[in-house]
Amino acid sequence: MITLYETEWCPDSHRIRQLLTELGLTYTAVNVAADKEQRPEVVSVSGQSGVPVLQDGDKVYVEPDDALEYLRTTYPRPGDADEHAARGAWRRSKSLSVPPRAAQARLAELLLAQELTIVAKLSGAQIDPHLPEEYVLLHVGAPAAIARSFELDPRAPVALLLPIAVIPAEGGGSVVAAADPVGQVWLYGDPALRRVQAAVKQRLLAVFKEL
Amino acid sequence: MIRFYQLEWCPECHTVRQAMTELGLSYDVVNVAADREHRPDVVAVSGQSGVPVLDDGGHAYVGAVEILPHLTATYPAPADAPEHVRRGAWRLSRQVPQAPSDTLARLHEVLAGKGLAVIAETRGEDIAAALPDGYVLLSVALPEAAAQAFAADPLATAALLLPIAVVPDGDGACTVSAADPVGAVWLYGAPPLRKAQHQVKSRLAEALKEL
Repeated sequence: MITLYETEWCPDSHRIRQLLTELGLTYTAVNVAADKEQRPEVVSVSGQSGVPVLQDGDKVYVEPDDALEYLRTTYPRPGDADEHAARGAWRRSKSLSVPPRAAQARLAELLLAQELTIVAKLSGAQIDPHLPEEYVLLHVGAPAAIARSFELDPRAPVALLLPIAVIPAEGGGSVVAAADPVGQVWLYGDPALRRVQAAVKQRLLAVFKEL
Repeated sequence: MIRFYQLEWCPECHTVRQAMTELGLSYDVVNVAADREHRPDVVAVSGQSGVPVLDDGGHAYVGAVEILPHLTATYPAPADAPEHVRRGAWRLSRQVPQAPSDTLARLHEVLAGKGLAVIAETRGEDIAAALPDGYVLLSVALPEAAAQAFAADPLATAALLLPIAVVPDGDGACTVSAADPVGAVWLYGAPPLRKAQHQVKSRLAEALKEL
């Protein structure tokens, strides 16, 4: 029997829960106190008070990477594990054989066709000199979705514009990468906001399909 | 005993898990199949195949809309519930009793004081006609953290620039609102990426305090 000592907002707990979802495992979740001093159950199981702690029978893992490795090597990956991994990735990317400049031109065409407006275009060098010269970050939005998001939640600036990057790849090609619009607001949990972003996501998927 | 049928990547399931973290509940987690046609366990307990479903003492609650009222009506909130709420909010904002234009000038000062560079400044009307006068969106970077994030994970487009909005509240007041930089990459889970974002977050928190 697997037990996970965790909190929802702990990023390493999320990594372990995501793998448990991919493996289709059933387990007991023990939500611990916010204050590390108030976690006697974690101390008694692991000798320390941090989470996540994964317990499976007499095995106890405190390091998240060890817990992940243990789960990966112990339990078989069911047929739908990759589907869960894809749904849980919350971003999308596609490698193209053409150089960044050509990729960017093609991307701009496809965005336009989906009525996604490029509001800002920034070069990597503008952000930090360590970024490659040909790196370009676009901020993209759909005007109707922006209006609706603002109405629903005026203080969620990440819901307005979506960052899409064109990144130079080795061998003269490029990669187009985007955050998932639903993933961007997922944590805020306002269901209405997520519905607006789901519509933006559909358009983004159409762009990626044709890239 | 609570039995929760769910998936890690399902946003509504996240909402319910966050509530159970706030209430400090322990429960059994049943991770269901990706394909709704392959969820006989969910159908058996609730008569339908969607998640989240929560079975508490033999009564099934379907969807956050049924589950959340049941949980809050049944289980008392412990003293640390507000701390869990704060940690799970994943955004930072501060209301300022000043006009948006004055706040924007002051925001530029405090950001610069923390080494946060304003890479782009976009007026609301240039984003979408529906945004109010005075709305401004800044794209902000901590250059060394951006370089680290790029080195750790070049395809994590949401990790480079942080959107910070000045949102007019009317009556000469406004709110400065930002996504939590760690929250923005939380779902991707790469630990080095989160470390870079933690630096951005602490600078931002300091800047907002000084507004």
